[in-house]
Amino acid sequence: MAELSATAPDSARVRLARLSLDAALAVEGVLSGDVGSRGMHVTAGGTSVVRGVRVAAEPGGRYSVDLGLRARMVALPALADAVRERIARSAGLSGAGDQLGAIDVTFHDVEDAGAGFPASVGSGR
Amino acid sequence: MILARTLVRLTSFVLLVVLALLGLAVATITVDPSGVSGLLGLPRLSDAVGGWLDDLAADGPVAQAGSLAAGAAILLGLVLLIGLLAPRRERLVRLDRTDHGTLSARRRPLSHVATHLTEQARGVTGARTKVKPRRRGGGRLRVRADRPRAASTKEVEAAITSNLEPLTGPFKLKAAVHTRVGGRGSRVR
Repeated sequence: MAELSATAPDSARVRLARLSLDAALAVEGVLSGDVGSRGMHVTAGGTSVVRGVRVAAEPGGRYSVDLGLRARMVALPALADAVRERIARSAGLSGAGDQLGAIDVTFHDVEDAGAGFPASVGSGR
Repeated sequence: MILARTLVRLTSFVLLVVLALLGLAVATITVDPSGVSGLLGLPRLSDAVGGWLDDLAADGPVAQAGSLAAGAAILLGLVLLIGLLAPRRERLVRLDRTDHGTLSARRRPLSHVATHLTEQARGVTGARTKVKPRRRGGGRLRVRADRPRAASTKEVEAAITSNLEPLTGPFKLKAAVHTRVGGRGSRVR
């Protein structure tokens, strides 16, 4: 039974969490995922744990994505837009576009890279 | 709320110690029931507090003190309940809410960015900032900056306000900027 659970495929929720976090981390200006002071930005399912994003089912068969991020000191609204756009594109390419609901972005910390603010936000690395 | 939570933590620790001592007493009674009465000195305790209990039951200053202590204990219990049961509100500043989702940030990164922007303003030699979120989104940004004596207060405050615009505009933060003459060694950056 233990072997079965260890090798069981991830649920759609966990897959979307992993996809969303990977897409967010690919955006220039995002440093890492952050679970937050209360550890709320976590998605767990089976034996998988994805830290830095919380994915929850919404009415209508979609999933809301709530990201907790650490970022460089850039214009945060533009960075959040770039993250949303990247996640939507990744979800579309992987066939999970119709599962994607609202994408909330919470910045838990920013790091000063020495550059002026607001620095430009890149769409990819 | 901070006081209530501190009291909860302190009381939890004290109660755990009391619980441990009670466990020890129960274990002792289980091993040797006959020796417990003498061990705890119950007869002597009865002699010592018997008179005080009689005073407490009768009208008088001891009874009044007892009533006050009971009232204080009830108040403490209520504070402990509030500290234990009141939901913790994460101190997030909600910046934007659309159909696509919500954008929020903790106070610390916003404060960090605000300090960085303030220190880039001409005439500022040091800065401290504090962000206070509002329930309906946005918040207040309090800026205290140091300036040299020669610098004009209005000019420095205007420069700070202008520098903060990329943060206060999209984040719906209302900035309150105050400057003062910095200490010895303050130099314009």
